[in-house]
Amino acid sequence: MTDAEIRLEYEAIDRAKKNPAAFGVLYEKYFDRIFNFIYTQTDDEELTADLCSQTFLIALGNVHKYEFRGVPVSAWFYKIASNEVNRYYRKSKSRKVYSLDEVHLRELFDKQEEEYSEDILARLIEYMRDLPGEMLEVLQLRFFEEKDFKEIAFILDISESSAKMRTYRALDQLRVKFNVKVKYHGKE
Amino acid sequence: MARNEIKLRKQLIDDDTLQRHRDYSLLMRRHERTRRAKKTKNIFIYSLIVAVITVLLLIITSYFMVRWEKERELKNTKPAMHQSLRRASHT
Repeated sequence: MTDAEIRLEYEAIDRAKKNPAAFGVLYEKYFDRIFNFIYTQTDDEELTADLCSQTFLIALGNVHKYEFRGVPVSAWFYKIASNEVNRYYRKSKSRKVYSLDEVHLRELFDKQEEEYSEDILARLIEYMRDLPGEMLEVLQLRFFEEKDFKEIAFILDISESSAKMRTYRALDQLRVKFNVKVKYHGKE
Repeated sequence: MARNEIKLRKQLIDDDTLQRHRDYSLLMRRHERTRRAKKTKNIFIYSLIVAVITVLLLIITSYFMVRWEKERELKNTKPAMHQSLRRASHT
């Protein structure tokens, strides 16, 4: 996202501070992404709709407190969404669900010596089942939502170095265990 | 037991589904309702605080009033007592 685009979004936020109806531009722009982000962590359409609506409601209710932190406005929505999802799982005391779309997952992997197969996919899922939640969150944001480390750090309320460390550790394990390499160009 | 439940989706969420749930006017209505509820709650809390402070002030004031009244009564009865004691000692 360019600086000019970020600035435009901040202008929209400033307008929304005076008139809540101006928030609509940001809602329309980010609804799909936030919905997808939540759906990936719930696999339940109705629950996703509720959490997504709650996310934007919280954002709208707190728009007057919003301050520039050097990240796009979308990172703020992701942060609220992530908190809402975590709150839901804490309350329901259920195991976190990750519903990953296969097409995207396949695209992410570079084939190495082994042929990319159903078997490798099954092993990969097995590996992800035992990954700590915070590592999965980082991977999801990094590779499915294509966020940079600064945004990830803001969304998850961690330092940039922690975000990098978690990502690299997960990728290293992938390399060692499956001999697969995630398409990663070291973009920061 | 595994930490997470990982599922694989064969396809992305379609536009119709997203369209069905995208409703900005509903969000605005909810926002207005929440804002009003928050305002009412704030008014209620402030009123409660004012009421508690008023009651406390009344209690404190009445306590001091009663004390002051008692002291006044005591002052009025003291000279009378002195007079009767003096009379008794003379006789």
